[in-house]
Amino acid sequence: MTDLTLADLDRDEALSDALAQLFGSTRAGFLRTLALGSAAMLAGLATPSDAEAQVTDLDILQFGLRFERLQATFYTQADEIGTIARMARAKQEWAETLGAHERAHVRIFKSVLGSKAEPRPFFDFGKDNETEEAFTRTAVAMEDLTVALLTGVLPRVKDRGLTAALFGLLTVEARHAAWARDIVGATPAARAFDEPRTLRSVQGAVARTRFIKAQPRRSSRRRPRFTG
Amino acid sequence: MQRKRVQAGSPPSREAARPTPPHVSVSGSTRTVCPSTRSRRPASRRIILSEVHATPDPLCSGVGVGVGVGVDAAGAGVSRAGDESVRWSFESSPQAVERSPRIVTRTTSELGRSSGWTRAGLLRTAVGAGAVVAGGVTMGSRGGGSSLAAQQEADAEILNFFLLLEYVQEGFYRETTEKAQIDGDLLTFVQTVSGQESEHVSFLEDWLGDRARDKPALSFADATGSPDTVQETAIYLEEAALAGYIGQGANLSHRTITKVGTLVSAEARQAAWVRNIAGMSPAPRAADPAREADAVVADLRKRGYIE
Repeated sequence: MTDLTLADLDRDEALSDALAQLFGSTRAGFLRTLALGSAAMLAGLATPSDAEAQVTDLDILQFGLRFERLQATFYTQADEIGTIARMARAKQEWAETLGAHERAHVRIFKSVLGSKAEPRPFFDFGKDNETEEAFTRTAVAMEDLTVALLTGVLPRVKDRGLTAALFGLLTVEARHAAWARDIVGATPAARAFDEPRTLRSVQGAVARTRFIKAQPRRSSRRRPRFTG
Repeated sequence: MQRKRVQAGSPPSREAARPTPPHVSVSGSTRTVCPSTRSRRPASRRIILSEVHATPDPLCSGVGVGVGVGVDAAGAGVSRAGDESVRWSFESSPQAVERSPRIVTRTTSELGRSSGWTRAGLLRTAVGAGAVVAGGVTMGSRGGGSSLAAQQEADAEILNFFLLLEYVQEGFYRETTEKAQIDGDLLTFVQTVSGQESEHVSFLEDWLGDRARDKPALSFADATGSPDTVQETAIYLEEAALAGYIGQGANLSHRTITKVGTLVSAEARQAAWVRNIAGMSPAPRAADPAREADAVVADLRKRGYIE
């Protein structure tokens, strides 16, 4: 399950590659293995599919909120269960800063959506924020995925005020991603252009993590199926 | 409907567009942890760039990038304890507000007078969605409606500004490499990023074709001569470019934004990387500030990097 999660998030496998060598390889080794990317695939994005073209600003905001909530909860829980406290000081600062920022982002999206904001979903990260190693690699993957999401939705946003705001969030998420990659010894900025992903594709990736649950787990006070 | 939400209720008037802080309730816990103030390495290694940061790090205040959105972004770096009760706001650091470059409050006519980058909506993206979109400002003042030609012209103007930023960065990293006064992580950074800036230049030159601006005459003097100055200057240039990109990115046509967005995130990664090398927090704010194009250029001139 954990492996599946990471593989799903890490489309280009550059990250898995780096992480696989994390504890046994030199930094120089990473730098050699991570080639500079190209912008070739950007050409394919000029004409969005019909489904993607119909994505509304509300869709983007709602998913933005959902995704930021997922991340915020991931960091908050890791803090609560002591995963972050067990890390080295520099890494703690990284994890705490990212958590604080993601919580601020949740508030931003909530305030923009106002009463339209969807109720908070339920999250279950399984073991993915229980150990430092699992936490770290999931965080790295999530931050890179957020960058891919934001670069992917930017051209879909109709409202220019929202576009402007998302630019200011995009750069922060990219900083997070770079910082995270630096922490694990991968090149923080491996490409001249990041690779965008569509909203639908990121929704799919998030769904496959199974971090978001439809219902909370209720172990007690369950209503009987039949009454009378 | 969404548009209304983004404005967060502000009518598109100049006064109302000012990023008045949201009400900040201060109750309960008063522990406020500001990530940007927590020195990650000994303070002596910290580099304070008084001109770069929209808000000086230690004040850890945010700058609005949009009305409803940006204001809340002032909650940047709120601590867990702060989640419920405390956060700083614009009010808490008036100095920061005064110094903060922002793209928020000017009117179109003011911009016409003061800015060389005069696309109508160019610098007022964050006035509020309604103002820009409903007012038809983005393209309107050019008198070109929303025709493809007008849109391309507007894109070209912005991309030429971006090209200038990339020329400066590319030139800086090239000269740094030539002088060969750095090693270790910083050298790795410069070598990696140098190639990326060249790719950015190529992309922008290709897009602009005949309309591409001339290469500026560059002069970095001692900035490329020692590890300390290289580090400091790299951070300055990366942050300046980022603020410029954030300020103008939303004014691009959708078609162009796709590519530029992926360039901007790469720039942000570079900024985080070199800040980490310098011992500064790679991500000092929850939302990055925007800056007017002419302010960014004026600053580069003041530093003597361009004429």
